[in-house]
Amino acid sequence: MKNLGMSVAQALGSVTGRHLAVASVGTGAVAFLLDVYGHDRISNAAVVTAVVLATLSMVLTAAWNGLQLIAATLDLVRARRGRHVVVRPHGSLFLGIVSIVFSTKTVERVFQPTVTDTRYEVNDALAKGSPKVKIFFIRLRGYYALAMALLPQAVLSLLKTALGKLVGIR
Amino acid sequence: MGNALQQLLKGRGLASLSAKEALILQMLTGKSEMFGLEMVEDSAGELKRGTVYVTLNRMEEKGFVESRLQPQGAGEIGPARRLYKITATGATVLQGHQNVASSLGLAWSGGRS
Repeated sequence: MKNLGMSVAQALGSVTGRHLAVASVGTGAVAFLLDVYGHDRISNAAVVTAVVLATLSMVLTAAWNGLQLIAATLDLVRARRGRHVVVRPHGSLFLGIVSIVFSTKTVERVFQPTVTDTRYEVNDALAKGSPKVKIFFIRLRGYYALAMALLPQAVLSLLKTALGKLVGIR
Repeated sequence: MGNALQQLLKGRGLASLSAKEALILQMLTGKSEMFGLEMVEDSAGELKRGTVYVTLNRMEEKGFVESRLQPQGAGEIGPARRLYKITATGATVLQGHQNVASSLGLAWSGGRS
């Protein structure tokens, strides 16, 4: 569907639209010259032709853009159906942020297992067909566990930094 | 196990073992490998899911436990589960603490309050 749409769009818009635009400008120029040399009737006909060509060109270009939009929307719908989805694992954003602040070892040994436990719990609940509310509470419990894991690590990190600075000064 | 015993053990050069650490070691003695959430569920509220991995990380640094990543199946995404098992050092320390506690006539609670 997408390929057909793109082919039609290219055939109608990309090629014909441009040709019509060029033809319109050309006809307009001819109409101007005819008007200069006193051929009023033919000039008027040429002006009308130029306007029609310009209008057609605009319509076809708009149609091409429209078809492109439809093709992109179809692509998005396909992706949402799961055929071309790139799935980001749960907690990857959190792990990305904490890895900036904490050491790799702390992230691997403290935060990552906590995230993994929550992920397994959520997956189990989904497999059992649990209601969304239950899954929401499992996630909430996971976030609380992460906060509880984060707090002592943050305090420890601050103490280490403060101690390091004190020792450095003295 | 009270604070007095902890002080006594420290005085004799034995590695310190907190109540939570003792509980984890005792649970791991019974099973080959466990993951953090499993320990939390088995501990009946003694261990919290937010702090269990902090404790396990500390125990790993002390050499009481060792861990490995659980192999993931095809199509699984995200970080793998970390499985923990007791080391020979951990087992020796636990046994030592149990022996000292029993020789002093203290009831070994295994970390359970």
